[in-house]
Amino acid sequence: MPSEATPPFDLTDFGCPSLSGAATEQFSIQGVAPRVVLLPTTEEEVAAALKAASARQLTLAPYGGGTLQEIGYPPEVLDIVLSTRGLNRIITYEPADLTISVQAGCTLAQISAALAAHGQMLPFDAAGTDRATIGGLVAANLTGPRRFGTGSYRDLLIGVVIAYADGTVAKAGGQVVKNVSGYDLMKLHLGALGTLGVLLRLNFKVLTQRPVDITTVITGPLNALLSLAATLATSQLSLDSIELLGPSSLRDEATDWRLAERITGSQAGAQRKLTDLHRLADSHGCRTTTLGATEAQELWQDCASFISPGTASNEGVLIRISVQPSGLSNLVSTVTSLAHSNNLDCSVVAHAGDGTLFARLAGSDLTAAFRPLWESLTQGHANALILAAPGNLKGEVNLWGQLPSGFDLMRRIKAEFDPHRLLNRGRFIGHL
Amino acid sequence: MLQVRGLLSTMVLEESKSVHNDLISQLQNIVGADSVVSHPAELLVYEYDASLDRHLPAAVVLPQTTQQVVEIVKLANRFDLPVVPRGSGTGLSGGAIAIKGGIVIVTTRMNHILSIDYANRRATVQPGVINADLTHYTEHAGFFYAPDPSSQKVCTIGGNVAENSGGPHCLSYGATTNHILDLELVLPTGDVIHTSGADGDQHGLDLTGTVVGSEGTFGIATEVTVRLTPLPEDTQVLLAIFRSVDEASNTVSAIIGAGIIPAALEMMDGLCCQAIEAAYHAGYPPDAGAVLLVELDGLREAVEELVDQVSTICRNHGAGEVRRARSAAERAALWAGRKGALGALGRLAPNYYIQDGVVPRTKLPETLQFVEQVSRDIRLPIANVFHAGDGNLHPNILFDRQDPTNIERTLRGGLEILRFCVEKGGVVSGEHGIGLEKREHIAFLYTTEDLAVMARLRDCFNPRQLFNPDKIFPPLRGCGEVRDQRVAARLAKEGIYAV
Ligand SMILES: Cc1cc2nc3c(=O)[nH]c(=O)nc-3n(C[C@H](O)[C@H](O)[C@H](O)COP(=O)(O)OP(=O)(O)OC[C@H]3O[C@@H](n4cnc5c(N)ncnc54)[C@H](O)[C@@H]3O)c2cc1C
Repeated sequence: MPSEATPPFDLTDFGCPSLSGAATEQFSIQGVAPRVVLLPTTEEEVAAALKAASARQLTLAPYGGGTLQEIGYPPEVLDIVLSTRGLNRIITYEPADLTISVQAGCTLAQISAALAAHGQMLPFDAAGTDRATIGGLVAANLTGPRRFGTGSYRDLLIGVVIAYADGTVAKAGGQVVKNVSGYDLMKLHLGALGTLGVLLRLNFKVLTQRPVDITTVITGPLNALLSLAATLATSQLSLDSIELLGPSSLRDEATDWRLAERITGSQAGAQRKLTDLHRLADSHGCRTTTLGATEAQELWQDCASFISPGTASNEGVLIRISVQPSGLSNLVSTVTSLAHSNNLDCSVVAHAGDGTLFARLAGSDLTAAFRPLWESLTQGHANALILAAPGNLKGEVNLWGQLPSGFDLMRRIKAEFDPHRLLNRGRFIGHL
Repeated sequence: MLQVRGLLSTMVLEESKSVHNDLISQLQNIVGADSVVSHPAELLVYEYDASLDRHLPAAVVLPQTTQQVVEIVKLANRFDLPVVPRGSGTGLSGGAIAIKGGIVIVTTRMNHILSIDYANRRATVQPGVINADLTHYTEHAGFFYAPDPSSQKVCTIGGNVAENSGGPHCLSYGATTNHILDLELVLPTGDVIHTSGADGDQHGLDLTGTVVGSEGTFGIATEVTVRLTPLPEDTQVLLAIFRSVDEASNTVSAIIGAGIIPAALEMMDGLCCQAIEAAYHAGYPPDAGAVLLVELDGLREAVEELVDQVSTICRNHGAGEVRRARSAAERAALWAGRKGALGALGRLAPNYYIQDGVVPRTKLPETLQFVEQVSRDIRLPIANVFHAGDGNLHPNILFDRQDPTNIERTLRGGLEILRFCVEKGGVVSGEHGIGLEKREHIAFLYTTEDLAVMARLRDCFNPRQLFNPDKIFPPLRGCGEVRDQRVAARLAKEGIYAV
């Protein structure tokens, strides 16, 4: 249904501040501008807007900071962008309980600042934290280096309030760290890209900042690094991150393969980890360097930017492939050799402990060169996803590679909660 | 007239008898005669779990393969019969009770560990594998399966998945849901899916996370891929002894408030200590008001620091004594006492009614005071043994089933405690599930709208509601309201909206 066919609508019907005309451009999603942008400031306004939109069968995309909108297909139709930035209150924060409840439009930086005042944190690695909203981050569930040791959205989200397509508002979970009362709808909305509902409020359990936070970088031959990573991942050291950095992947332009570790703990605990790490790296014939605080911060910020689709979609393609960690070595050589044989520049970063590889591909005839690469990759790897790509390419490939065996069920769930496909129409797996 | 009615009922009886025989013989065709239970006397074993309710199923089947499960589920669909998955039947919320009869699928013969992959820290098992067996099997290689319900020697991984079971060590390691990578799931339609990608990661919706904790209402798990965890280098166990529950619960709040998350942080009150000591001679002081059992693990150096910090906090909050287990044997004895606590309560009263509410951890002191007050009000003793670090209470109301006045007071006490938990910002179940037992109580926590959304999700998996029917959702009045919401949702689907 093309946008033109939809009858005209009165912007005041939505009961909240709005933008129209040229002002909507800045809320374009992958080149598609909405007809109106809604700027609700309360949860009730969001619900009312959804109700009004669904009564008129208008398509709608929730929009946080816009940092991850490159993920997924372009919207098939986009009538309304619903900005969640007005929902920016921290609702309750109980440092002594180690829990926090925030509205979806709070930025990660805002939440982190509130937590840091009490020596606490959420270990989410994201790019553009002063823009990225917590709702958007959870909806994308793009996990960073600390997923390995400290956990990510999935591990720490304990409650949600959701506004569904028809304006129904419902909660699940709660404000306690352990809960099996009713179904786990937190998981249902995690990574659903806002296709099942609009996140209004999220509750997390939070962590305590550790007194020591050290970053090391290990260099050596790729095979030695991968074997070291496997040893570290199954060791008792419980490192926060074990990240494989390919040549020229970060801003420092280093040309070697590297393994970056994040080590936290008490003085004694962290020191012990560091000692063991040195010993293990030596025994693998690799060299360990400890970074200064600023360097370390830059390195992790760069990692977050690398895996974030927001930054370079115009120039290249960003893909993510998940394998079992022992398959990483093969995967790295498959991806790099496929890139090479298709004349594409390729840089990679991988969560070595989890087996998740991110590759950025670029080249002069990207579209033609990428298609055969993607075809071979997705044949061998069931869990491959294109996170960002130029628009013309997105029209030609399956961004999610293969559809999983549960896809029919996913379709049924979508049909139940958004029968008219109003939320982010066509953007998710299988064009749901 | 009478005669006709008699004739009719005989006909119905005859007909249902022949239907029943037909069902049994078809089930036998699928799994073999020795894997179908249909004799009323033998069915009695499957009429209850570890909760208070009971109901007889029409038949019990014990398949060994996924394919057999698929055929059983399809058969049940043809007969319009409910299907209830069942592991070891240790559930505390009635989840495995066939409240509407039908077929119970017992997974205890699906008990093979299919593969273990230490390099990738994972194992794939059939659902009937016993929780503790997986840890025993992997310990020699330096790994374990972290979720450790106290019932771990008997409960199944499939049951753990369905309940999202917890256990003492879930405080730092997370509950079952944090350790499940993939499920092979036979849906209520008989279709088989894997809930994750081949690598165990989300691809599309997080079906794995959605299914864990769905209490057997979304399908039956026939294979489970779990995360294995490296065993910690060092483990130390402290037993801190307090004069009162109040002191002990303030200590819990203080430990958490200091940002220390021990591997486990369990509380037992005086009544529990007496029962445990009488049963196991595990080293619990029978004259204590309450004790905290604290496990600290990790690298040696870090554990030493934590032992000091936690001991100091305990002493500063009134612990008369903080004992440290000196050997693996002493640690094991303390844990055996803790994990056997429910069994030991049998020494105090013929029955116990266990509550599973959770409160924010700063609310523990006042909540435990309230529990004491309830005990006085209902004139029944309440023994507390629970996962204090998570704020997950287990007040056990001790009663005698034979005494009808006892039952009324017991239920009232349980209800008041759960109401209080919810008032304090908590929830009605932390790990035992809703099942039959807490169907009414879930409405303290969630509105009709909240529950309607959950019911709609269930219907996506389980459209005919044949799978584990009448569980989780409030019956009677509540149910009617939930249904209305669903009708409204259905209408909305057709583009019709209430004005
Ligand atoms: C003494 C004692 C101590 C306990 N301690 C704890 C504790 O510390 N922590 C805790 O969390 N629980 C505890 N429990 C509760 C209970 O042991 C757990 O809920 C356990 O996970 C149930 O496992 P089971 O195999 O006995 O499952 P069952 O009781 O047989 O079934 C439980 C539920 O799981 C469903 N189910 C079973 N198998 C499958 C399958 N393969 N696929 C789909 N659904 C399935 C059933 O339909 C039912 O709804 C305790 C129970 C007892 C009796």
